[in-house]
Amino acid sequence: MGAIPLAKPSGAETELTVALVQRAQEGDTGAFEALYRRLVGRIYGLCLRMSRDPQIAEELTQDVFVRAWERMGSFRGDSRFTTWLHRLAVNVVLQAGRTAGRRASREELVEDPGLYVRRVKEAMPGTRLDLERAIASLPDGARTVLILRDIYGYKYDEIAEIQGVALGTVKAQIHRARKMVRKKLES
Amino acid sequence: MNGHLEEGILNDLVDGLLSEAEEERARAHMAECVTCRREIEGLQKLRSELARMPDDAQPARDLWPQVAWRMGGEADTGRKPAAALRKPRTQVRAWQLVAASVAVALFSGGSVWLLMTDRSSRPDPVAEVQRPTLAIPASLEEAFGEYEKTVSGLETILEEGKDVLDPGTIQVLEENLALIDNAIDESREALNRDPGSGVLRRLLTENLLRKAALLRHAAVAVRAQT
Repeated sequence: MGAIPLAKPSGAETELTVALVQRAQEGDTGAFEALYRRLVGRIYGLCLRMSRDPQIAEELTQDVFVRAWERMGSFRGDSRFTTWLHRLAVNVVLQAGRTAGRRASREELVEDPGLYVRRVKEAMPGTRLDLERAIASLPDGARTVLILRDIYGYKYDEIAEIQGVALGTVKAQIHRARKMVRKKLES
Repeated sequence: MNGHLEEGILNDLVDGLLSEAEEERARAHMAECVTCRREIEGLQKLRSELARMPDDAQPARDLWPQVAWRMGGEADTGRKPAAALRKPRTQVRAWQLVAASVAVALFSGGSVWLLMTDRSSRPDPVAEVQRPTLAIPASLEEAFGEYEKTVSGLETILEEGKDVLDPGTIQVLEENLALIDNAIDESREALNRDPGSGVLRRLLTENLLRKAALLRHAAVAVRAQT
């Protein structure tokens, strides 16, 4: 029995993306907008699942692209641009979550779970709503790890590095997350 | 282990993280153990279902105008030197950027303004007057100015209409406005201290929109009486 391959196989960056990145690094806002148009869906999808709040997801998506623009100069092409941007997005979302947690630990960010599921249905036609609902119900740590590992295909050590936690913690969280989601789906 | 494979082993097996020897031991166990076999099948099924989930989602509105705005440029410009874009032309505070982005949302006819629109079936006497028809403002200063102008215009309508509204209504409106102004001040000061905080930007945005919406409702009430 082989391992299930990573969720999203990596491939070569398209020539167009490479060209757009180069032009954006030279300050071409039109090229950056074209990158935005190509990649906004993937970034918004991540932000939506991680935040579980459509409004916050929109703000986080904006934050990601603004920060990407500010940091275009630091992209050296060692990885694919889409990987770099996605990683930036994960950091932005996690940082926002930490800030929110510090500021209002009592506040439940998912103000309306029904709204979230309705929004997911509109934004991602064809997705499994029972799975989305089960994922959204997970505690923060477990949810983050499950999304990054099983949907977006991050490796455990990458997740540990991004989150600044031990590898064992990440693995324990995903075991918990998978168990909870399966239980939820069976109930 | 209670005679079954540990949870960690099962997950590592699904993730392909076991060594050859460990995997062989696990397989040998599963050949004899229906419970662990079912467990691993369940995990594999979940993994492949999650891997097939779409990763693209479309935002409900176009976020580019506000992204472009915050980049320091304009949404519809062509090439611009990166250095000029990375730094706003003038020294602006984070809260002013928020107000400006609210203005961009309002003036681009986006969903934010629609949220502020009175959805009653009666014709709205103020909507056509107040609903901005401008293109996206050409500069940060202009956008920020437009927000202030809109709010100030609504405040004027309210001020002029105080005579026609019930004193109790006026009192409630003023108390609510004072509360919102207080919230705006607090979130603005907090944002000055922590300009990178998305949460604070969201709070300030909500408060600015709340103020514009309340003033607009008040203006509708005034116009309905005059």
